[in-house]
Amino acid sequence: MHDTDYTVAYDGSFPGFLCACAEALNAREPVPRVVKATIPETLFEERCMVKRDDDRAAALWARLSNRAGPDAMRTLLEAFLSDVPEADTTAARAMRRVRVEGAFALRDLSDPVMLTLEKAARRAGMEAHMYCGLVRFSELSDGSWYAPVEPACDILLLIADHFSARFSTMRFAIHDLGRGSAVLHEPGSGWSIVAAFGLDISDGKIDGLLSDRERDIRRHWQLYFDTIAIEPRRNPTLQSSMLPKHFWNLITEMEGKTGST
Amino acid sequence: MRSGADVETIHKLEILSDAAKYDASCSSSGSARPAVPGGLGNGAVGGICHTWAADGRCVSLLKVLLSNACLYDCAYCVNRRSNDVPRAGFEPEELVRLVIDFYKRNYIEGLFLSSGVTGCPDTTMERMIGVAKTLRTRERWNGYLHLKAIPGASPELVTEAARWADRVSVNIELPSAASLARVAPDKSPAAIFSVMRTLSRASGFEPRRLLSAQTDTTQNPRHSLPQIGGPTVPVPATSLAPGGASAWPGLPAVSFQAAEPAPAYNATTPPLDRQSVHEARKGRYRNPESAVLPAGQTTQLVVGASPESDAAILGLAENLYLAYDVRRVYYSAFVPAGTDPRVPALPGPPLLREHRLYQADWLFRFYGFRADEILSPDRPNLDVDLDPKCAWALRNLDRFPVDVNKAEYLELLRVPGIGPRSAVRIVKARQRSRLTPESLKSLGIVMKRAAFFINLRPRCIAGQRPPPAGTNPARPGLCLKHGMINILQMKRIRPQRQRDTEKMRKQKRKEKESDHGGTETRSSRERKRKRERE
Repeated sequence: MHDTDYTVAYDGSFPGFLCACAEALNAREPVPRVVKATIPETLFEERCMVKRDDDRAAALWARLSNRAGPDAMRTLLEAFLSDVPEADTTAARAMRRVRVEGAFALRDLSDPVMLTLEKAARRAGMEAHMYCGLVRFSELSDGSWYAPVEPACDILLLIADHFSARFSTMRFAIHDLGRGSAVLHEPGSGWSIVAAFGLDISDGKIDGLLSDRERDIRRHWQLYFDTIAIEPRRNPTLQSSMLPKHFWNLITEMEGKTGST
Repeated sequence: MRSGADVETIHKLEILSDAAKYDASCSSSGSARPAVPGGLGNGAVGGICHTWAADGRCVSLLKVLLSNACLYDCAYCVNRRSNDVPRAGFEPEELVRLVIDFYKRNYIEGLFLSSGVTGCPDTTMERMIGVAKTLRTRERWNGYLHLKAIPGASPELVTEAARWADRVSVNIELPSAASLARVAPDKSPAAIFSVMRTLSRASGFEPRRLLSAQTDTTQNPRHSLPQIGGPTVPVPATSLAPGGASAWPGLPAVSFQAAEPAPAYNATTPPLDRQSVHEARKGRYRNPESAVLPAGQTTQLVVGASPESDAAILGLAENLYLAYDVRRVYYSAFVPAGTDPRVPALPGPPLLREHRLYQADWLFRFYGFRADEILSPDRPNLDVDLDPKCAWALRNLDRFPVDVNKAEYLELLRVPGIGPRSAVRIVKARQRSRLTPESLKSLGIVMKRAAFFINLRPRCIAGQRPPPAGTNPARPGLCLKHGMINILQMKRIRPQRQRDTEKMRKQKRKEKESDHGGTETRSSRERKRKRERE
């Protein structure tokens, strides 16, 4: 019997997480849990903090990718990015099996760890897919594009490729208002993620920065959106079940709509 | 200040999107058109919904008509010649600008462009192709483009449209030739099906007759542009349904379900050798990155504007899937507008019927059902209270319970409460360990329904008797027969009248009680009397 709860803590970043996982993978029994450093230590816990080391993280990533393939790695990444409590701990536990058995381990849904992992990955994946449609760019007067988002999961990493492939000629920023981070895309030089991003606005409103045509186009879009609904088929319940209301506040066409029947 | 041009665009957008909204198709899946350097946009093969309108339908494309002026007079259509509505038309340049502006803001996944018939079908098609060409070449735009083909347009123009678009569709409009002649006199089956045949060939699929068993379904992928011409003459309907006339002369696939009138059902010769849509599609090669028509063709028909039964509609839909490789058949509940005597006056669009038809359609494409399994000769219409799959399961109790630890994927799919996603999860999960009722629940199977149709057959533990046959280990003490009854009771909606009488009875009882002194009940009154006597 082990009464002590051994844990390995990391700084919250994905490379840091991978380093902690590497530590946990190499550890002897009992296997330590991987936790975020921000989680307070409990009474029976024996915690060891792991420093972020990007080379070490890359090495583990490459080793696991070799063993399990890109799909399995995406699942692990998605689970890490999902906002599910203890998803990181679960992902680290799953990694132990993935290292030995490869991607096949992820198919074992009768293992509660794998099931939790799949559900967490699904949550992040679904939200990322949702945001591929719900990001709304506004044209700024300097010709660049800005889109604020407020996702529950940390999805910027998951949607960056989609938007930079689609709008390769546009200079844009997708700003996660909740976390403060943003994807920045420059034509020709690809995308990058910055941890702290802010627009240069004094009163907190973006309206002063918008280009002249932006208002007109938004009005066109709102008009189109209102017209396209067939009145005898009106179904606000269906609408809000497909597009839950927590998405509404940053979507152009929902401006000023409360969703009441 | 808004400019005059801006006001005009707003006005046109309002009229032309309002005129286009009855086209149900708004999907943007099937195309993985790659981005080009210096260009704008690409295709997302799974499709992306960008928003949901107040009627709950997803908005993925900018759906507009190029012009809503129309020569035709189709009774169900809001743009018919005889309808008094404001008319407008986009200048091609205006529309191109609108598409690019919306696309850059990520409002839309692409454009759905249709048009009223102005001049002749060919002129109309040419104008639409003009817009498509400008978008693709000058603007280097690679977003999703869905063009509507005009029935009767020449094969050359339809093939040209297929070159620029991701999907081209032509609406079959009504489920039988007779109804089409009555409701949409300007459109002919030959005109519609010749376009469908051209589109079929353009996407690399040779349209076919489906009268006997199918053996060869795999098609060789075609990378080059298809040949125009060839044997595109309308195929005469040589095969007639047993006991009835063919609903659609010229439709190569004629099974007995497509026959009208509905009583022409012949239960003695079910075409059991026929493939299901799911099976036929499994081996079919589709290239989402193909330059020509990667998302294939779709079609749409109006439900409720003509007297055909659900069986006729589903039979026709199945034929279209098999014979033309149509990706989707859309069913559009007829929205009654105006007082045209050619269409019935309905209190509202038949939404439940539309919903049931879509459920049945899903059973074709993802569950391996055939049309004749969903509707039997004595039931030409889908059940209002039960979904088609549950109704089928209750009619085929001899196929249940299914052992989830052993059953094949397609068998699992037939269990109510198990869909493609759960079936895949079951197949994955059982490779490693035996499934138990708890693990099924955590896999996301709807046990409320599935419990009555599955058998988990627990291992015999020494000294313990196995459960008697017919009982369901998933829910101990619950026998399959009772399960059915439960489901029926659960699903059958009690008639409103019955509910009302129950309500009235309850109310009366309450009133009686309050007459007798509020909360006093019979037993308390008796006790009181007893005490008084004492």
